[in-house]
Amino acid sequence: MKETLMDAENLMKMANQIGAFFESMPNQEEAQAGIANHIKKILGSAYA
Amino acid sequence: MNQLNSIDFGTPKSTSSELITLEIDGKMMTVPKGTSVMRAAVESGVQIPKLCATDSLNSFGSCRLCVVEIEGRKGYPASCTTPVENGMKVKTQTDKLANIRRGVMELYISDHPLDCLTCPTNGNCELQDMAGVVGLREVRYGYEGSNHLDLKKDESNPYFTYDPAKCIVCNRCVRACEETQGTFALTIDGRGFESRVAASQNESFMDSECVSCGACVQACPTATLTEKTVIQMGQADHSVTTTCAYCGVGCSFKAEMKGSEVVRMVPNKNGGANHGHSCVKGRFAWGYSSHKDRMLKPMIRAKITDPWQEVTLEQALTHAASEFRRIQGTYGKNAIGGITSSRCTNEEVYLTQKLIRAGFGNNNTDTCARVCHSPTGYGLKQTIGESAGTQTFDSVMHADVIMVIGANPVAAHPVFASQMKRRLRQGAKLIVIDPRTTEMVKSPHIQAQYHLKLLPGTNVAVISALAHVVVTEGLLKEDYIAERCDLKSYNEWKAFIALPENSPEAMEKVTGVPADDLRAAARLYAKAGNGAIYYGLGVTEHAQGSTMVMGIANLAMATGNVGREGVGINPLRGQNNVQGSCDMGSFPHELPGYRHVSDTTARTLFEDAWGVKLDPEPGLRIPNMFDAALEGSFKGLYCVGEDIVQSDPDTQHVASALEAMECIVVQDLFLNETAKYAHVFLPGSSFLEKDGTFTNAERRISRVRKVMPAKSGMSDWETTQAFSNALGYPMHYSHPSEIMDEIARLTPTFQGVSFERIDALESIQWPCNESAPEGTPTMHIEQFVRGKGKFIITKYVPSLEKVTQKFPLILTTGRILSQYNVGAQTRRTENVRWHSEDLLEIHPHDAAERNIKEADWVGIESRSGTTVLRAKVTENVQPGVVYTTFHFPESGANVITTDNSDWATHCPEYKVTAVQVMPVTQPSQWQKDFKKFDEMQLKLSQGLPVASAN
Repeated sequence: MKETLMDAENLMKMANQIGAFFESMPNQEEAQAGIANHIKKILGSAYA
Repeated sequence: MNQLNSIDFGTPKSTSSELITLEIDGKMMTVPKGTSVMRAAVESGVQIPKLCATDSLNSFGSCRLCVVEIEGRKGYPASCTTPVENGMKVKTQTDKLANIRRGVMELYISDHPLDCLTCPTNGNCELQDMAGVVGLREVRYGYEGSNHLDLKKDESNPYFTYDPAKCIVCNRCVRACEETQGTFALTIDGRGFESRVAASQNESFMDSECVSCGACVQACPTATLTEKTVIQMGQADHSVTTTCAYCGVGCSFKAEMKGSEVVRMVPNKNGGANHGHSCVKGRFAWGYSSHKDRMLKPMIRAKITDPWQEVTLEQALTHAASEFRRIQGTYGKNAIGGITSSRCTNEEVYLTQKLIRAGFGNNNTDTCARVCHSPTGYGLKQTIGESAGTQTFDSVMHADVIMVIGANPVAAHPVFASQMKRRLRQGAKLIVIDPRTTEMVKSPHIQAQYHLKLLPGTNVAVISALAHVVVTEGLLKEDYIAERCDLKSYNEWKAFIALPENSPEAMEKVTGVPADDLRAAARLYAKAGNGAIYYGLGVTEHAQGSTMVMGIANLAMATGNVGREGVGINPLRGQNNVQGSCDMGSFPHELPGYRHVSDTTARTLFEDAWGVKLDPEPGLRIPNMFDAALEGSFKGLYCVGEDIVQSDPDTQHVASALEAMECIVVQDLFLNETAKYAHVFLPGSSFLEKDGTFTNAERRISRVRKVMPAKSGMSDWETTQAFSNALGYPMHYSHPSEIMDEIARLTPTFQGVSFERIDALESIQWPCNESAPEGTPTMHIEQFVRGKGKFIITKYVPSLEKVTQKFPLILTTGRILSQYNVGAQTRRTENVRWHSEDLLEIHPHDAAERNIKEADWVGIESRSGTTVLRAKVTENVQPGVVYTTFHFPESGANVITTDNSDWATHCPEYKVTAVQVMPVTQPSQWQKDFKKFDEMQLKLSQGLPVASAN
């Protein structure tokens, strides 16, 4: 079983913060890609 | 007193490219225009007698010893104040000159003690030297006249004495305090014969404005100002050049030694970062390396409530390795990890992350930069393509407008602050963006043109408003942007920043900064010939730390202020090797050289070199390690030189996490707060006890040289290597230079770096490779590292940390000059004389509302916890904001900081904590528990059992 790297509460808080940064981008597709890419780069592909 | 083996040229070097030819004592020579006759003579091998001149200071012409004869000129001009001219013919030695000089020396010696043989500078005294050089044989005035021989010594400063009886009033110390340091603490009191050096208003040095940088001591040609260590030990017999282990300036020092003991640390005038200057910490506060608290033996224990047991290093490492493998066998490969720090050299950091990646088999490596400049790494990589500052420190001397954001270099980068102040005194303008009125805002001969006193947590609002002014008032450098920046991102950013919501008027409500001031500051910066931005942890340690760094980059690019001297984006990295620890791949997601672990090309390079498969997934950051520990999946930690219990936020959370782990291995000089939770203690080595390199805030890689044997028997890199071997991952380096050679082979930006190359060049600023064989002082000259600079939209998002009725004040934190970070080093030196406890700064209005007076004990409560400090009532903070430092563990400053952090990097939001402050009569519960725990751990460290340890 893969170890849990981050609990759900912390993960949601982090995701909301990341989302708040990217939501100001004019292109929503780019913003979503940015969020996914950032999470993958920092936390790993398990979170992508 | 002179440095060992150092030539003093008398006056500073000229930087002119125009050359002048003259004749000195019949010999023709050519020197740059602006060179003094004195310096020209020294460069040709002729020493002209001197006392008031020294090459770190502008000429003064007071001692009249350096007089010369110049053909066609009347009289006997001072060679120090006379610039060379084409065709000049100078004689430095004639009968008349000899008579004049002997006369001058007679006067000096008539009012000077004749105790040379017992004087601490005997054999190294310029007055003594000059008496010999001029052939002084008698003092016709005798010694019975008026003199100053009865004047009392001032021994108040813990590091040096001032003996006015020996003073020749050459003014070097006064000039050093003005020109080099910029504090202006010294003056000449009285006139004529009554003239004496005075500190402030004729106070003792300790009570005066003196900041104990030692520039005066260094400049003094006699024993008037002398280090106490020289008085006690005598003079050194050899010196070794090394690099300071304190702040990110990375001052170069000559450690003057007697055998294997340090006599004194003298700033190296060839130091690329410091040019012969230093601060109280680097110059004087090195005694911690031999403090009685040093732990020199390896120790182990099963539980943190057990006494420590001294063992051999082999036993300690075998035990630690066995525990780590047991933990991995039980909980999985990712259940252990490591933390490096700036206390480690580049080579040691590299080894530690190599051990973790190749030995532990995961990427659970992180470093102290997590809690300070990780947003710099992220933000600058995104915008300009490299995770580092763009300039040298010297670049500031070409700046026209200097903007300092969230930094107080006077306290945290004092030598650089002195240089910045020099530029400001020359006429450059200053903008300070800081919630506090720091020493940068106003100091002798310096006043910030604008002090934007924003509320903590509103940085991005301010930077966006500044950029709004630039964009809407036609202040953009369109040509620069068109040539060098990504136009799509620029246009998107421009449209966003021009929105009315980003205007100074709209942002004034949240920032507290008057719109007019902000507009004026923006115009000043944008219209400057050269505008330079310097920033510190007041930028990065926020929930929007990375956003703010990107906002700074946006502003710099929009105004054309990157890519030459005098401008730039300058993160003031706080620690001696925090830049290096990032460069060396300490982060869980990046290999050395900032290449992502998922990058197959980069990873394969390291796999081939290291002989193992590496994990392509990012590992745990420090905060995630704590969360995972509490959750039960992270059980082992190897912590080298970092005190996470004291330095990381939300202390109680950190302590709980450590208590949940099964094997913590701490490698350090002292039994620090983290070691109190450890199961294995490995004795560390100070910077005086190891070879290696540090990389400062300028990307300058400098040598750290071993000046004495490691007190524990091994340098840190050797211990880490031994640990790796115990774990079964072989490492067999015989010298740190081999580690650097490996780094250079595997890291393109370090390709040209080697110990040999550093020795040849004194220091190297990376990138250093085929295209920059001597390093890169200024980056992004032709283009940005990422190609085109990228603008990134920086929308202001308020912090989650809100002030409420219950917590109506905002706490922000910072540093003080005399202490360094968690104080592990400086608390164990005489620097405690200046700062013996952390205080809470509170505005008089807030204090009055709460009936708090100066020095009262006050409780500071946040959503995380409570602690108690003494109050300092001051207008340096604004109403609604309180401030403290974090240098003493018993202060519990991080008991009250929260787990809020930067969205991109998890850098803690130390600068924004909502608190309430009230008078109290006793320590907080945490402090009482801390004291008990501390006392218990002290007993356990002595091998003593503790009853009812639970």
